[in-house]
Amino acid sequence: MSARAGRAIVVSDSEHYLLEAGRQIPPQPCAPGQLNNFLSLVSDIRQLEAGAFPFAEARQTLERGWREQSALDLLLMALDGDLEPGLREDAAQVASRLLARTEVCLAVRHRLLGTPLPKEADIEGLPETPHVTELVREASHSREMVVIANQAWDRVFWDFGHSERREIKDRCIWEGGFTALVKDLQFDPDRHFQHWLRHLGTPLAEPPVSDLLRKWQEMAGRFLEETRLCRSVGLEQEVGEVFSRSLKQVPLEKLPRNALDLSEKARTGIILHTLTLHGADPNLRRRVLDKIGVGRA
Amino acid sequence: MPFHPVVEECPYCHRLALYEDEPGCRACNTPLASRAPNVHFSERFRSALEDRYREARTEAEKNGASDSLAGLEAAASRSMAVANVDVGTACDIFSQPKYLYTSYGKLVEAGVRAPAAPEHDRHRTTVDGLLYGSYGKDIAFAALSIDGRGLTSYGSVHLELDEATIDFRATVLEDNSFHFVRRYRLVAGDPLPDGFLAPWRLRAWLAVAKLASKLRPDMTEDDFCKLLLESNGNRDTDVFLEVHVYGTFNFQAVRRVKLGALDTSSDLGEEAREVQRVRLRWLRSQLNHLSVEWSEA
Repeated sequence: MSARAGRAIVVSDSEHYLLEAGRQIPPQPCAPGQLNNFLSLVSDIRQLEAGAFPFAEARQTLERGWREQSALDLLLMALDGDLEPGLREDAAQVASRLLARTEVCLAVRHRLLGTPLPKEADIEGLPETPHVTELVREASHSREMVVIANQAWDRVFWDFGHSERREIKDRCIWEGGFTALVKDLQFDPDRHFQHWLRHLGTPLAEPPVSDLLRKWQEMAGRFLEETRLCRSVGLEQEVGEVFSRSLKQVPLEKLPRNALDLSEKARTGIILHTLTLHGADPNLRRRVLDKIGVGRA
Repeated sequence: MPFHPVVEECPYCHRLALYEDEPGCRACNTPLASRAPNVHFSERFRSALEDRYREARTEAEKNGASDSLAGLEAAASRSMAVANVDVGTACDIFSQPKYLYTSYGKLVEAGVRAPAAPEHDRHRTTVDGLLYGSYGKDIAFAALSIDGRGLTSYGSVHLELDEATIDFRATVLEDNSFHFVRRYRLVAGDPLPDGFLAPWRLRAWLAVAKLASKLRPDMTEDDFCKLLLESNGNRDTDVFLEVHVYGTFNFQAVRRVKLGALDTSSDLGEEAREVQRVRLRWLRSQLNHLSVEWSEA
């Protein structure tokens, strides 16, 4: 099934059937070649049990996934400042209609709080539209916390292979883990995330993932502290850039295994470590260390 | 959204598609695809292909269709590779500069996606492997077309590939590879029937060999288009010559696009129709932005 393409192909012993989102007809028999083409072009394939003909459960999952993906795509289209205003307005209106369904709105909210809004998103030029405006406003206000949650995630889950890490992250976003953590970072520590953890379904509830989720919360809290510290010493922008660069450019697998422990030893550990490891400008490094009152390393 | 900075022009296809730190051109996949093994392989069938071509000419002459044969051969010499996708996939291709149109096997190999359920994975790789062996997984598929219209059964957006990006790495099979393998009951270890696979430059010979028996006197260009490719939306009844492109390509390999009309069938719900309309509108806008020539199909 692909939510992006709005299609699912059901494979049974004797036949292949095509399901299409938004099409009110029974499953249509299709050629096996259709499955192969589908597999080649679509990047968001999910495999699930379809049940018995006419595959009501699979259709429901497909319809829902397609609505969520379409609503998100159109919402992002409405944020694209390079597009003509009429098209943005059109996209926002159709997104708004899709988002009128509570479950679609909630899923899109989870997605928006799972990945930072692109910096080039034109929020000011967003057409005022029910649901769309509120979701974007929240994502925009939460952007810094979303960045922190993502940085902490990458650090904690780095040991997993690329596709497994991606799969766990998607699942966590989809189940509202990022939303809960971002809200805690923003307003009320421990309340949302702890509640979320208690009601987790498999496979996130199983070790080692469940343990790492707790570590993720701690790490995000620490990153938030570091950010506030940087802000308090007036070097927010400069250090922020170093943080950002460190995660984008430095191969994290080369970090020493004890990097996380090091940062726990001192309040300034991560800053010091980041500055040292990632070759920050020596003047900046000296200024940061002077400002936060630790000896020169 | 801004695209990745272009580093230099590709010396093979002359697209500005050699990006920093990437091993090959995104449009024509050189140098990775410059020694395309499928092309080398197809050369071994040249002699048998030439025999079939000459026999076809003789047959057409006997039928008084020499002029039509000349017309078909000229039209087939100008034919192009057209890959069809649905609107959603087209939006992905033209919105993500890194999106590569590639084969299923490549996607699995790259870890971009997980393999399909074992029985389907085997089916796909078996057909690719029967034709080309171990590099079958590197083949992307398209159809040979005279007028830029491809197989609507694969989607309403017709992507016409620029010859400069594929002529050195494309081969043409007389039929859909699934049907071909089935018709000749090919199993592992069987040699391919002789004279049915051609390198790109000899595609007109293959078209003549396949279609000469269907020629009548006084046929027009429009007739040749329909002879070469016929697609009414049902893959089982599609008639075409299949183009096999070794390696990947991105939007920069697309020379022209034909956009199918909006799906107005009565079984399509209002939401799906609206989403499709906005996506198509966005696609037109993006094609203009990228200076890709397009027209309504």
